[in-house]
Amino acid sequence: MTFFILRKILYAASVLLGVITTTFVITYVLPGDPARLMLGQRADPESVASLQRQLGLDRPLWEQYGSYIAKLAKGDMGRSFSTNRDVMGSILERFPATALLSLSAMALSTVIGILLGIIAAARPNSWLDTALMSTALLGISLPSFVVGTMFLLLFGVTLRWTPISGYIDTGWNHLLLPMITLALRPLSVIARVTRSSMLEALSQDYIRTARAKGASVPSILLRHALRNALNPVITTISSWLAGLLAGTVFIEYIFNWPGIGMVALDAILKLDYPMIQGTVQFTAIIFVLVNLLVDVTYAFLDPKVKLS
Amino acid sequence: MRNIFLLRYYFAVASLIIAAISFGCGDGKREDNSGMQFRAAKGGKFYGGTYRVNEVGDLRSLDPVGINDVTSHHIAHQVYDLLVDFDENLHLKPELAESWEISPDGLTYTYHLRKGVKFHDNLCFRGGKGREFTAGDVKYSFTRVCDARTGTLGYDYFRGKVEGADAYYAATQAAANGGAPAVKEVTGFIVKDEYTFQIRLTKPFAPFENYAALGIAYIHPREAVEKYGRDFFQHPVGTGAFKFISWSPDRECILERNVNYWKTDADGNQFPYLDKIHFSFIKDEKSQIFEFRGGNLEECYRIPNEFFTSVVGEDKKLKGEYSKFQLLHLPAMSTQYYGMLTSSKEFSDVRVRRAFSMAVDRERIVKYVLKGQAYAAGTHGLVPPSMPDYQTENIKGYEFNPTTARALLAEAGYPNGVGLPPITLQLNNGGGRNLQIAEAAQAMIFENLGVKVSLTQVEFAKHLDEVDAGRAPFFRLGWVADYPDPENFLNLLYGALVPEDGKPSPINHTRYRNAEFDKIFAQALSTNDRAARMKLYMQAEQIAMNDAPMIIVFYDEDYRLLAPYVEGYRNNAMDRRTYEYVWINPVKL
Repeated sequence: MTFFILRKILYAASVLLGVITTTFVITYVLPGDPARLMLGQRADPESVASLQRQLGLDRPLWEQYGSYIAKLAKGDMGRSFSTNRDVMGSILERFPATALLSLSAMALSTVIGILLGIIAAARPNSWLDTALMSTALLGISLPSFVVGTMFLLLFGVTLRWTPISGYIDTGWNHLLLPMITLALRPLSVIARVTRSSMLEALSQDYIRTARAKGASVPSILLRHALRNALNPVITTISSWLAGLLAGTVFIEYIFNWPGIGMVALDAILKLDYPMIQGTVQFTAIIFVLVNLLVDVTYAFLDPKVKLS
Repeated sequence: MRNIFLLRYYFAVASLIIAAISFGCGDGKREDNSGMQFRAAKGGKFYGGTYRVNEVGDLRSLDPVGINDVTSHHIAHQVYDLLVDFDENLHLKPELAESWEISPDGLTYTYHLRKGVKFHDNLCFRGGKGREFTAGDVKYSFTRVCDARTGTLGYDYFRGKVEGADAYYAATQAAANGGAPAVKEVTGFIVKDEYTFQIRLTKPFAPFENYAALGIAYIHPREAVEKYGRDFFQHPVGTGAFKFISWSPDRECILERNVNYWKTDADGNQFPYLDKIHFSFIKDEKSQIFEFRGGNLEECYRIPNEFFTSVVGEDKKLKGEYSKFQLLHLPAMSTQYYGMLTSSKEFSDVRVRRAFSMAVDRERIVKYVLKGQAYAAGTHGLVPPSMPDYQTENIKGYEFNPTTARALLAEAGYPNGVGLPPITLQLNNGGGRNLQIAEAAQAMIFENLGVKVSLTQVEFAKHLDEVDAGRAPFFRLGWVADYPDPENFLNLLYGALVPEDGKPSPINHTRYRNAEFDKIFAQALSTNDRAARMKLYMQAEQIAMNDAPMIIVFYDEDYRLLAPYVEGYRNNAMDRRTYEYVWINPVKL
């Protein structure tokens, strides 16, 4: 087990190093000059050159990369070109907002998704099953920024049931629209995966035995079938969880949710290299950590995984 | 086993949600003014209330040396004071300087400072009580702009103009990695006595009178910079009408009434009237107007183009459900144009440039593309009509005239555009209307000249790079004034700013040169008499417009919606925000 975990950690570290290097090179080759952008349209070439020197942008790529890695090893992601704020501090300040949005959306989609999947599987090929699965297909197909804008116009502007934008410090109802919008896709996927997995479980011999023994329908569905159908559902949930923590950019922008996605988007538009690198790397760390945790948990739960 | 995993997952989710909530929760519900207590002031006004306003841009810094963006300036302007400021008509008015004079040779600016003005109470001062502001603070604040170690974004204003500024900047740059700079001060910033401050210039430069009103010139105390160090940008201390309370990036910035503010109104009421200003940072203009309509904001600056006709009628009055609000609109201090690189193969011939300019029907663009959301079509010069003391209407630009345009193009050797190299109009992406306008101009040029123009959209940073480097012969730009002097615009046409060796030309993007323009413009720059200076500017601008280095498309107009109970708002063409005059009328709530 120790060897397995070490191997996974080593693998995660190499992924992170790859992400750090790739992000660094990509930001370096982005068109445009951050110093020029910061100084504005009236910038004098001398001032631009001076600011480039201050920001270290006049040094060769390898030299910049070397000093960046050295700082990063000490946990220093640098300061934002645009706001002068500490990058790590800015990210940590916003992570709770992203985490809250992602995790609540994930919790919502897990509960509702599994429930809908069970309902659909209980009456396969009925009108209810068809309706639920068609809706789920729609939920998967519609891009989140379209759904978000539609929800915002309908519930926020026309019906005025929910606030249009903002964070929970001015009311819990601020969470509703972004959470539902974000939950829609994973919810649909979880519902579909649960349904197919349940159908497979319901066709097994032990279900027939349970029925023959007179077990009630809820007992068959929840005690016998669901427990055995959960494996692929859990896999789906964990992969979506990592994805959601990593990417809520559009939702955050539409609902003005002050999370990491907003910071990343701003940083890209302003060529704020340290902030771009910081947000991408932080997101990668979260993604890798969640996956690492899932892998290790699986190994604990299912020895077959370890052996493979 | 799987159930255990699921349980663990839910436990983890629940704990993270709780952690996130406890970490992320702020100080409760956003205040509105319905349940507030207001205090009567003289003249029928009221003290009290929270003014909620949104910024679609980012608040980058509240350290004056780092302010060169609109949002930071809007907020800093409430916290800090300037020596002088602009009034509603954009004329200079006294603030921390009660009066000022310029020496006859135009080299020395003397400011006589107000006595008894106190900085905000702050922990940076002994006992937490704000001390009195003096000339030493002005010198300190201005010197920081010339100090490379501060990360200054404003040094360009003083470079080559203020005596000793360049030497000090170079010395601080050399000392950036530690140690004391070899030059101790900017010799041109002089403290004559506690209440007199002087600036000495290296050569006369008449627009300099406006520099003391720029965002970089906010007066701040040494103690605050020393206490907060690199974090001073988020702990501003000034003498302004409002004190800084908190800033939560991307969420809010809160300011509170400065009870010791030095200014009073005509009725003897102490400014400001408002208890608090709450800035939010909703990036999307559509969400901003929704929030305003829903009663969550007192002010909404700008109306999204796609909403404009449903909010404002042709008579420029609010309509429908918006008619209960107040509308303020006035010509903005900005001009939108297409630049033509005069050194390029495509646009080196003045006849081609004039032909392009005459082929674009700006009136139609304003009416049908902008749906009236512009002050006027760009048929005059580059300097916008909102420039005080300047008669833009006397500058003759280009009207739509397809017949003459075709004739000019043929005369230049390109009948129906035949023989012209392929032309691409480069735009920055973002700002949906830019593309719509460009598509209309593209169609008009093809229809009236037979010239096919292709469009390309690039990131703003790349756009600037390409335009600076002279790699975009035909490009879109907008120019917004920093201060109300035509020099701010006409610099774009000043030949002295075009580098000889083909290096990037970041200001004169069209690389336009005309010796006569340069001579008159240079003369204007050293003419302190404002009326005479304006005359010279106009002469110079007419020369440049005759050479058509740019297609002036339109002059912007600013639209602002206010809640019905907001009173005392002072609007101006540069969107300089001064909330000290604003008060909330509880009778109209």
